Amino acid sequence: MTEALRNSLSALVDQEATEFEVRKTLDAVKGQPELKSYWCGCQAISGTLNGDDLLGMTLVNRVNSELDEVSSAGASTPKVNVKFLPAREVLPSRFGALIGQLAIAASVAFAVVVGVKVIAPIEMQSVVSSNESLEFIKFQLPGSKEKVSSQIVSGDFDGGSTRPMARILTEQDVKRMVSERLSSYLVRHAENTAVVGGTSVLPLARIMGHDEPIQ
Amino acid sequence: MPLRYFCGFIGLWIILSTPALAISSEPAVSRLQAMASAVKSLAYSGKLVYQREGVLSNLAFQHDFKNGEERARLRRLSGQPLERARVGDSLFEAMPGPDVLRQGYPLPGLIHPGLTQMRESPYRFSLGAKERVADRSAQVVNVEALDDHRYSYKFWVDYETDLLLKSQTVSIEGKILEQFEFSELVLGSKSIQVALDQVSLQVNVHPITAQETVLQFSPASWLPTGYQLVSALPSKAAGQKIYSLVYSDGLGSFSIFLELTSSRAEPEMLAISGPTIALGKDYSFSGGALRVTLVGEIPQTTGKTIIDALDVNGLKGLLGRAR
Repeated sequence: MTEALRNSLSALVDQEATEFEVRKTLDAVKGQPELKSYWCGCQAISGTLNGDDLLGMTLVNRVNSELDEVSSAGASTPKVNVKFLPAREVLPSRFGALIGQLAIAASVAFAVVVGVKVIAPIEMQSVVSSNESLEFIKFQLPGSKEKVSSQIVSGDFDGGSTRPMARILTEQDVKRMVSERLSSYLVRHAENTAVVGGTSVLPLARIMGHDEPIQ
Repeated sequence: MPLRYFCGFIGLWIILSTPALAISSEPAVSRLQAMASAVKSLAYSGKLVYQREGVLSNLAFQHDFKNGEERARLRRLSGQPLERARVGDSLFEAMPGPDVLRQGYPLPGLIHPGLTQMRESPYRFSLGAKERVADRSAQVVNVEALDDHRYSYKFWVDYETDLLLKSQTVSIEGKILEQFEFSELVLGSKSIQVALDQVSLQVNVHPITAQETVLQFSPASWLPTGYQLVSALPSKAAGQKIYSLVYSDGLGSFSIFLELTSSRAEPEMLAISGPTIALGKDYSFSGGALRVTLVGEIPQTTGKTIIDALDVNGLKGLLGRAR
């Protein structure tokens, strides 16, 4: 777990996370069990401080209840449970909350990412701090099934010897990486298109089409 | 004689230097205008198929009015029974199962092309043949892109009602990138039937919040002809701002998302799905990165050119001050 992720998670617990932060964090929670544990710990502390009863709640329920504060109402049709969100909050907070809710789904929402290309830009080299063991990986489009080619640039910044660690990325890793980085923006673009009027029923149909899991 | 050549040269120069604008066939544009009005004002329902590379969805659609409120519902008929609806200013989303995560997508305004803007963009509008869709007679309207920075479209418009029965988004190479088509269309109010044996759905309702336009800058140093900034959607939380800029030429659109993050810059990424591209590019910035993401229905090379031509230094300064 990275420090940034830990900070994002803390911000989420403290309800100070940005909407994108919320999405990304929840995406990460889904894929990393240790992050889930950390989240549970944060929740337990937060819940205890607030006097909440946390027993018997699933992670999803907990995420929902933490982000949501939804008041429920009855459904008008049989076999349907209805939750109602009053239109009282402005975009950043309420929208951020509901976007947070979609995060886990969004991580798998972009059903078929066709032709994924991942390229490491030159300036990546400058963002590695001098104390870090430099691990620089060049990605290519996963032409092979199992592995993406990797190149490691060993760093020796502090005069001592650093042992670079090779990381082999599977196609799924790359897809997950791309999905985590881009999925939420794809959803948001569909929303934007809809909000500004769009051009047809297509934005909505696109969204429905994106609800498939990643293959 | 030289004067004639000179005049000819001047005339040619004027023609060549004039930006490519829409070549409109008035009947075609009128048909699109009527279509835009019909899809919002009529009550109708039906079943349609949406398809793009790797995705095929069967959907039921319903549009009507109740108590003066516009209502639209879309329900997926195969696979997981998802449903989205809009009633007035509320959004509904229904998904099965107890652990339901809400998604809260606003429903689009359906066909609502910016006709003026569309006519100023390099498209050629023309009427095509009369064809049969959903057991109805339809007029084909071709919208052909006149440059390589946008896709072409083909619309099948119902003769009787002007409703859109079928639509295709076509690449520069002539490949169909996505399409939808009504297989059944019923005029008048009619609710989508829900099968009795279906699993329970949890329905969530989301308010549609009004957007405020406070962003007064566009970082795009280069835009394809006809594209304009149509919406700027800033959001902020915990002191961090994310700017969403939406550009459109009346038919196609793309969004640019800008944010300053405290995390390390990530590699450049590209995802393509049907007509939609998503490009992510991070720039190192003091204590983090300027994260730029472009998503839209434009060709990949166009998206790359736009994102590469952004005024990054200006953005860093602007966003850094607003931090």
